[in-house]
Amino acid sequence: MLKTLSRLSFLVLAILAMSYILPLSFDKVFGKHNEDPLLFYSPVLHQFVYQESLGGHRFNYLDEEGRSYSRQEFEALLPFVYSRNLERRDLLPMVLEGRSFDAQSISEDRQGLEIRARHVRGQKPRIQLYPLFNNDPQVAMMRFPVEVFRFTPNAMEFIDADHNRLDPHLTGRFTEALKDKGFVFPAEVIGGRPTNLKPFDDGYFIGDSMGQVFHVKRVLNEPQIFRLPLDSPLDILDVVVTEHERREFHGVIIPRQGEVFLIRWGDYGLIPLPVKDYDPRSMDLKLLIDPLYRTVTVSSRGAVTGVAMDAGYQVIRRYELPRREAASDLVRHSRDFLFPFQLTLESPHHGQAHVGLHVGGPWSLAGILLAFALFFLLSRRDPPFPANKGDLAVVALSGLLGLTAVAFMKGDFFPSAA
Amino acid sequence: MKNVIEVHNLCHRYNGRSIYENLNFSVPEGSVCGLLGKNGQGKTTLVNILMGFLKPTSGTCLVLGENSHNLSPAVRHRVGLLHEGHLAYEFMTITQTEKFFRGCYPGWKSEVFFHLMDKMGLPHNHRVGNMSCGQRSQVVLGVIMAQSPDLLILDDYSMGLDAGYRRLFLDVLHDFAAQGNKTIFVTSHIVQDLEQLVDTIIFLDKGEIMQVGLDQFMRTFRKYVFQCERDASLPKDEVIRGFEQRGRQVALYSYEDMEAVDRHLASLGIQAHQLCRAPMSLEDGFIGLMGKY
Amino acid sequence: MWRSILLKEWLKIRWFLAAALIVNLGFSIKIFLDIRSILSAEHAQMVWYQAVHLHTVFHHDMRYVPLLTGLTLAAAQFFPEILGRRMRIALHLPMARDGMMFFCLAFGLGVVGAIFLVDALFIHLTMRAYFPFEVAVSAVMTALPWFLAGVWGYLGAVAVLLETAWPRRVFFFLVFSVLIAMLYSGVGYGWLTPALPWLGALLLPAFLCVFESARRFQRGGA
Repeated sequence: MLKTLSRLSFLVLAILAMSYILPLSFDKVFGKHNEDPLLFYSPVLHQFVYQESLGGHRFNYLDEEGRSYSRQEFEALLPFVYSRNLERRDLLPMVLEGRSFDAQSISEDRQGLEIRARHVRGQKPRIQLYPLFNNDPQVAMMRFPVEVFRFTPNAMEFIDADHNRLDPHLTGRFTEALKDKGFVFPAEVIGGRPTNLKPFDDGYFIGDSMGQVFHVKRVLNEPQIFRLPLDSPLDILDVVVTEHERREFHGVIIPRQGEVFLIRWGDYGLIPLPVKDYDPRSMDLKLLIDPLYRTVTVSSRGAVTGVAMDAGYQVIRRYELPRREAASDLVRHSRDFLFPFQLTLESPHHGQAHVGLHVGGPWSLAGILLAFALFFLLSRRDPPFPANKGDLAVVALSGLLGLTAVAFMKGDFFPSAA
Repeated sequence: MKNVIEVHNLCHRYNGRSIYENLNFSVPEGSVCGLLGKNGQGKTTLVNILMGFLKPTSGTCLVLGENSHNLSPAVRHRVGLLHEGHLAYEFMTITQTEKFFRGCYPGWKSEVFFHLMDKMGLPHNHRVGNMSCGQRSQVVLGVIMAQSPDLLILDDYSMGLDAGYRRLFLDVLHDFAAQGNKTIFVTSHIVQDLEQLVDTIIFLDKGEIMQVGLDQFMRTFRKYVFQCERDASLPKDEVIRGFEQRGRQVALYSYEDMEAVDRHLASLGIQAHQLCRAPMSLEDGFIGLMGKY
Repeated sequence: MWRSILLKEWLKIRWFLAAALIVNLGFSIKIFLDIRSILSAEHAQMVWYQAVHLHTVFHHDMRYVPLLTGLTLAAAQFFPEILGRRMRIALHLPMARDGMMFFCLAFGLGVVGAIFLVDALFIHLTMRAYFPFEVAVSAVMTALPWFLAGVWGYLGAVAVLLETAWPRRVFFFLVFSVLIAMLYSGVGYGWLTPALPWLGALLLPAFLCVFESARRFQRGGA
């Protein structure tokens, strides 16, 4: 019993180790870069254009119809994206839809925002301690506060870093102020930018246990709290705060179920973005704002989807670009043939370890059949390589990987040094 | 009388090379059996199989009734092993060695162990690793004796020992065997020593076994010497089992009586001057039977 | 009988254990002094910011110490046993081979585990002295894969040492190296935390596979 278990244990370890390292090494040798194509809405063509990587800093520039462009032609189709280059080429100012744009006006009315799955709450390790910057209109510099805050089941606690202990005054003030505004502890989600490398501080957006959202700021060391006027409670995955000079919106609320809302500056109204089947845990979302349009693109496993909107966030065009396999058929089939499954620790959607087991395709069966054949061939060898049911099962499940492991465990296959 | 060691149809191959095929022998209880063979004949391999540290390719090897490579703790308790080179825990002192083995063997005889140790005159906190080969062999011997086993298997106990320590070993083993019902299986490269100890000999040569009582062997195998005028190249045959020549002096080994040997030599055209039977030691007999190479 | 085994294992490792303790404590103290000097040079809130939001791991220097500890103790325990195949003495003792192996391994793992417990305690106390408890907990969680690597290293080294055939020895070495390398992947704090239950569960097969190595050692020729 122990003998079988012990032997099987090593086979399992060996197969796991091989199914982790060998496919990784294979990809390193045969390259499997899958860079996302960059999708833009062209205000010149009034359709989507995209840049596709061919690897090694070579790109294809195409539009929806598959027409190919040179790099310079491509840049000219996207004056708001490549304004600096166009300015250098003396192509600015440019008149579009009756309005003239120069480099200055373009850069003032541009904003980009990216929400990557790997940075979303729960997808990467996050210690929930945040600095709450003090807003003082008299002081231009944003000084790092000496306190950080955390949320406990019934308080917003401030801890003084100089002494590593609770600041009862700030804790009391903010906890009371939150309760006064109807905050129900504990906090569910905290969104903000804990850095002073930003043009101004817009505090934090904090979701409470009832699905309400509060805007929390510290002004002259006093709490300034505003409850967002939501129609209904939201089941929020994460909140992203933008702190952008355009001050069109405070940030983005990402509920768990396929929606995205911008929090409008001023009245805190929610602007829904027209994304369908968006899963924030496995897809990356980009919002690109230029003087005329807003484009939201969502990269999923199978495709990159773009939605162009006018300045009022009304949809004017949708386009879906299916993703192409980066590796050739030969490489992909060989990979499946050799490795019936792959063990991974890293995932493109996680900022931390994520154990995954990826099963190969039909070619994996061919690999397993070859492993079987080799197994029987070897079992006729002298010194004997006895076939037993357990090893056969191991080979059936893991193909050539299993065969390798079994070969090394054969009693007489590698006789000991006498 | 029951057998303490029984070997049936033992085959062993290593790297596809056959070391022996169909080896059969047994060692009865109470006997002192010496395994003799030249280097490279698989002596160590056989001892390793007997000790349970090598699984034979096929055949059975029973020690006290159990498969040697799968002995139960109860049987291991009754078997004392002396590994080649007097393997011991070098990181232990004499006291620690005693304490360690005392805990492992319920019938442990401390007085036997310390009696042997005290003869060496070493302090008990002396580390085994700092001892000479001879001193270490005494520690190992002490350990085995204090276990009071029913069967002793000794793999080349004489390795690295000078005459004094070899005699000490023989003394102790002799006393042990004299207790009755104790069986000893021993190999040594100093054949001469075994003559004073064993009652049975197993010759291992080219994968074949010959088992014979010491007395019988010494009685029936004979050494003759004669003078020869020129280089006498003798054939090995039914009469002449082996010979050695040093100058004109030839020693010849045979199971036959002198008359038959004389006749045989004459038929070969060899003039054997002063042919006579000479006293034969076990070592002589060993060389006579197995040859030098 | 078990007390005898305990005595033997203890005699083999005691000086190595002392050295391992000194090295581990030395690193723990170094980490403490490092953090103290950083805090005296910079504003505490900036150091907290580095620890929490920039994912600076202040006890990073310590990460290979547990692995080294595991390897050293495995070698201290089993190298004398394979020299001249000395383990034949223990294998002939009137006790079950697997039981004896279990006891030897349990002893070694117990010692290794105790050292890591001391390390973890030091890390926690050091971090707790200067940081909020969330950071202290995260620091220990970040160090867990390193401790796991120490245990893996211990078991892997034992298996590799006991193997008698060189091709298999090399294969074991490679397999354990890959598994240990997995424990050092990622950056920042807590990167491996979600995978820890899986990696921890693999300790059982790693523990079990040593018994086959011991069996092969016993039957593995002269």
